[in-house]
Amino acid sequence: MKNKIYELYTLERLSRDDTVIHRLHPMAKMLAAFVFITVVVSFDRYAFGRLIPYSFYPAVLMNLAGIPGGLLFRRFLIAAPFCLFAGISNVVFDRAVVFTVAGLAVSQGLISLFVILFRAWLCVMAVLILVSTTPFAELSSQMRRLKIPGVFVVVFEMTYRYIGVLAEEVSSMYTAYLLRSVKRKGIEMRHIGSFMGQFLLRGLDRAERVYSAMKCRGYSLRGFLRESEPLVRSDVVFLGAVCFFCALFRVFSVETAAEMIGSRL
Amino acid sequence: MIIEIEDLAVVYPDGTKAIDGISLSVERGESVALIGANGAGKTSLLLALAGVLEAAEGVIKIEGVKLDAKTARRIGRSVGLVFQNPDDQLFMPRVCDDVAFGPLNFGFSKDEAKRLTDETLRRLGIAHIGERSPLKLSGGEKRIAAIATVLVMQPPVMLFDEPAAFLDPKAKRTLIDLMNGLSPVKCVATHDLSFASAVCDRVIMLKNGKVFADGSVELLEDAGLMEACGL
Repeated sequence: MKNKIYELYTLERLSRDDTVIHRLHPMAKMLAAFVFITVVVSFDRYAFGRLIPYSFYPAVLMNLAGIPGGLLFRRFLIAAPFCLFAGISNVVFDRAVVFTVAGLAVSQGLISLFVILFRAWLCVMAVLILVSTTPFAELSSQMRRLKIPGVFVVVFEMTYRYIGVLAEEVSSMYTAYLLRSVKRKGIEMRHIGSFMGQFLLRGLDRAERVYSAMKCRGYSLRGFLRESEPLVRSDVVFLGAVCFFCALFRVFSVETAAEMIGSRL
Repeated sequence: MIIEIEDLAVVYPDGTKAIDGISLSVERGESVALIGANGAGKTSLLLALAGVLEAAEGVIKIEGVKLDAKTARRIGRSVGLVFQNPDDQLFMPRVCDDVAFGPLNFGFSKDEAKRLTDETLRRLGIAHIGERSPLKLSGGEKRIAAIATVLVMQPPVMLFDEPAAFLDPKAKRTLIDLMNGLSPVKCVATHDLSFASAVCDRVIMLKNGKVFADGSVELLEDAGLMEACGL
């Protein structure tokens, strides 16, 4: 379990690498991710084909940043069931057949389910790429610079700091439980309530001590702005390219965009 | 005087009086052991000195500056607290991030924070664990890393809460050598009497939130006094 906790910070460790994407200004990467996600979620629920070009964004960035795709995909799988549940009702209620493949009817609901999953994959990948190419402290500092309300930034920071601490707490409680249980096969149903209650109390206590330790070393809820270098030409070019790419395929379909670019060339 | 405490009282929200009218002072260069049974008020006194717990009554002065809500942040730079459990103090993905946390919060530039971090890790002989996750450290390494997170800010006063807890004899000897080499004023809350006599030159015994005895480390050899103090 300790190794699982260690894995929680894998993305943070990746963010220390030195590639062309890692060297970009955190603000440029944050804004690019924001534009990308905004455009991706703006499509209607049947626009599966029009979303396909957007898979270039994670593919190119992962390649340039040297991030293992499998690692990010495994992270996406954690979110996938939630997206699946969000879209599954469409399959039930939206049964209008759009086309048939080998005698199998493909309904609008099924298409919208795929769109939800694909859109979620694109958005989660954009965020994961941002996190694995930008140190966490830089992200929260840039959020403050963007005037995002302090309370959101603090919640973001605290969640990140405590998640490993809480996981460690669960780990030791779980080990202690297993060592005293007869079957040693996980927590029995009748003990889940008290286990969770204890975990909450211990978590609160631990959080209090960690917060005290942070406060002793100058942390304040208002946070602080790290000194930040200005955006350079490569940052502006990156941001501009992402905006152009997103806008191009938002306004035109793949065929039209290809024709346009072809005629210009 | 680097630390001055007058009639200090600390009361927890449930009404428990953890500190009950303590007055004492500590001079520059002193190493003070705070000795007492469980619940005597050692940790509460350290937390109050670090500004984590508010005083219900009385005054704390660090380097002549009265500790209150306005000065807490400034005094926070002068007083470093090493917590009893190093896991409470190490919450960043890498040891070097944890060590740099304080300097960055106190407004040092990134380069300066990195320089101080590297220097501190080197000085404490743990440069090789700088890139490692705190989760992967041994108890002794965690303890030294926790000290590094405080020492990096070069505070004139360092407070240690049970620093020898959970350490094996070798790690304890390393810690004693390390602490004896530290220049700041040290206040060490401990149950470990041999550790206290190896690191400190003055002993303050606490009982029920009050100062029970105050003197040189020879006090630790007085069995009757120890018994009366609940140790």
